[in-house]
Amino acid sequence: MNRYTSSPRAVISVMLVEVLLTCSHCAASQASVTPDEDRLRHLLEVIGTKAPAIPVPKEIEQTKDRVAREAYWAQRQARFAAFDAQINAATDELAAMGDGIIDRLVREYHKPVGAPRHQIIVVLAKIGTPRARERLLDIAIAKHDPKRTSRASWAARNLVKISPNKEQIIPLLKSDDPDVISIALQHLPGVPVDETLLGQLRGFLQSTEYHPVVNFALRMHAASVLARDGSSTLTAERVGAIVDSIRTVENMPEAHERLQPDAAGTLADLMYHYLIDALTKTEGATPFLRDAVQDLLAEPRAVVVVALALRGDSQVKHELRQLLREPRMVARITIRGHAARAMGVIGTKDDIDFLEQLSQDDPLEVINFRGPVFEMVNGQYVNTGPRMPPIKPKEDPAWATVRRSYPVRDQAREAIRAIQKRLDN
Amino acid sequence: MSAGLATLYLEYTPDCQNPWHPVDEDSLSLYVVDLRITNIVGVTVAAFSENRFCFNDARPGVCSLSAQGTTGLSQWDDGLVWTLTAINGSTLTTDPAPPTGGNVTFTYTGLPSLNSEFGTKLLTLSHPNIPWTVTQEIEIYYMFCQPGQANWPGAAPVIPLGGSQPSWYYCPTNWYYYYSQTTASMGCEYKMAGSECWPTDFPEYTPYVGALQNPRPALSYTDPRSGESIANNGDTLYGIDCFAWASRHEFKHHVDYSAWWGTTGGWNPNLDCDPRPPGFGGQGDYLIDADEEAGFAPSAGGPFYWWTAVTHTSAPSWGYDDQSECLFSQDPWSVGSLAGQDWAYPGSQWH
Repeated sequence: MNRYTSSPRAVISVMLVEVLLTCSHCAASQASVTPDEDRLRHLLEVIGTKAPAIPVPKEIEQTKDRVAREAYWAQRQARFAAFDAQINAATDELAAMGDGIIDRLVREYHKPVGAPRHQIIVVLAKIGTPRARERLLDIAIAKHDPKRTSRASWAARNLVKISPNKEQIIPLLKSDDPDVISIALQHLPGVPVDETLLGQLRGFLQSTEYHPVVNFALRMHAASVLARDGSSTLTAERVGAIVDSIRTVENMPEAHERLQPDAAGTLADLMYHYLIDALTKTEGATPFLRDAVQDLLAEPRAVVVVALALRGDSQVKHELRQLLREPRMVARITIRGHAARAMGVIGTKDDIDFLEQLSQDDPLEVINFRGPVFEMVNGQYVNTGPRMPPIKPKEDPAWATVRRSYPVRDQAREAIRAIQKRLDN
Repeated sequence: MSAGLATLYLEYTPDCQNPWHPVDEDSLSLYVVDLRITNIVGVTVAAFSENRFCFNDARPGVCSLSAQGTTGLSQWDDGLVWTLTAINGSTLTTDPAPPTGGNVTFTYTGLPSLNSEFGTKLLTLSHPNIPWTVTQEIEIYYMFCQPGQANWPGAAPVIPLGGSQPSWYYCPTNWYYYYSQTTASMGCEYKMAGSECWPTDFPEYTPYVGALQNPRPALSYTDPRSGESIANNGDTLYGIDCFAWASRHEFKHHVDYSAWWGTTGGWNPNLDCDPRPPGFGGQGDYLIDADEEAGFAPSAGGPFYWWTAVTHTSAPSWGYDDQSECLFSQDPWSVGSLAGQDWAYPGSQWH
């Protein structure tokens, strides 16, 4: 036997062995290829086809000729529809192959190069069997990708659509991706809340990580799950968890920034809106809220007082009236808006004068440009900030058609109407 | 087995029953190679994370990344050869040119005109003496960008309506330019100040999108009377989903106002008398009073009341009844469905 020492030849020899092994493996695979396998490859290729990007021609962008615009958009929609039809047909055909192709789809999904991952998720959802759902769950709760890829949340969205019951959505809460958790929570209201789920929800009700918008969604959806558990179990704990969330709203990052430019109120204001809503809908909550309110101050106290009033507890009426005139609370649009509305629930004829006055002189004004919505108190802008566009100068033509309103005054008028209706009956 | 010099021993044993007595043996020396891409980092980018790279906001935009690789044999690394998929409409340069060696920099200059040109690109590494190639998928993104930052091809300062000086702030943003090439678009025009469609804009009722908030918070409202919820109730939206939602919202206003007021010569205060707060003059919620109670199904937020401009009093503050009707009845958007075409950063695919 010869002894080889020449390095490139040696490398190439070893590589040839590898290539031969690879080729014999391919040959073996090809020997078992069936017509279905060819079809499968073709379909996988089709679902991986890039969607056409159709730029809008300059002349269409600039034309004011409505007919020409509409004709262009119809033609464009037809092109997209033809593409969609092709992808959907291939997706449906793959899905019709059922459980038998799931392993292959999963292998394809994990291919490092060229995998049509987004559409494979759709195929798995269309297969919809317990095995397909398991694979979707795997993708959705796989260790969170620091790139914040959307694939986990896309798998979660598809999974919730095909889950035969809400209990099967709960495992998504194990994810460390807040988007996946938010999707799961959004679909969970109505599921019975046991101790384990309650523990998870408590955590989400204290969310302060990542992004204020996401924290907001987690708290809002978690509160809704607690409120809509129709059983009478763990009521004290469920109410307690929501109240604990109320206590920490002001600590949320950007709590005092606008949540979005086209809805009045700060992140905290809108958070309170949803937490009030949850407390109002939680069956049997009143005695626990009466206990809780004893320990609360400032905004958290106001929120619970308003929730009690909306639940019909007239014991809080005096405090509710104080709250509506409290100068420190004047810009808290959702708390005061609900407070005025709550007067319609627990108010009597003795409150009508108070409400009449409120409906005429409450200083909180909303100026709606149909895009951004600004708020003013006694003529001074409030709750402006980095999320708001610049205030329009008085000479801007938008001021001519601006919508202006006084939301607390509006709610006071509604309350008077509700009281009068009760008196008439 | 690690890369480097190795020895392969061979033994020849003709008698299978007696393996302890080989009749011949030999050995050969060989090099084991380990061809690998060891690192890819952004050099001139707006952001990079793992294998995702985002063009910066220069005009033209630049996306430059540096890749390191090895054969495992340092004496061979100079012979490494790299390739990266080109982007049509963008100039790809390399340092060194041609791209060889253990450390190369690829630079795309100029954003492409087609949205589909962003996304997955293949970085390959090979060596003339090694019969296989190593590949790595990377993804190329553009900046979602704020007004004033646009750098899509053809972006230029725009003179705003009533203004005299061209300004970058009024140029459509990158997200508008690229998202408009997809089915997320409903043909809405761009407006720097924000998404809008005015009920007084007879007869065009032009829908605009602009100033997208990304992500858009999950707003939620269910009509206590009917149990019906607004479209995309509770969805948090990112990137192309924000655009698709806003486009459908403004387009629905356009359809509504055209249907309600297109044949009456525009909004008519004699047909729309819902009281607004006193002291402001004006009236109405832009729904025809006669239709408010019977003309809108619960799925459209109805019935509405002709005696108030705000029927949904327990909803978060968002405006008058025309706004509520639109939020209920606009086409719901399938969130995530176009993530594969969203190459904005931050967007629905990378945020």
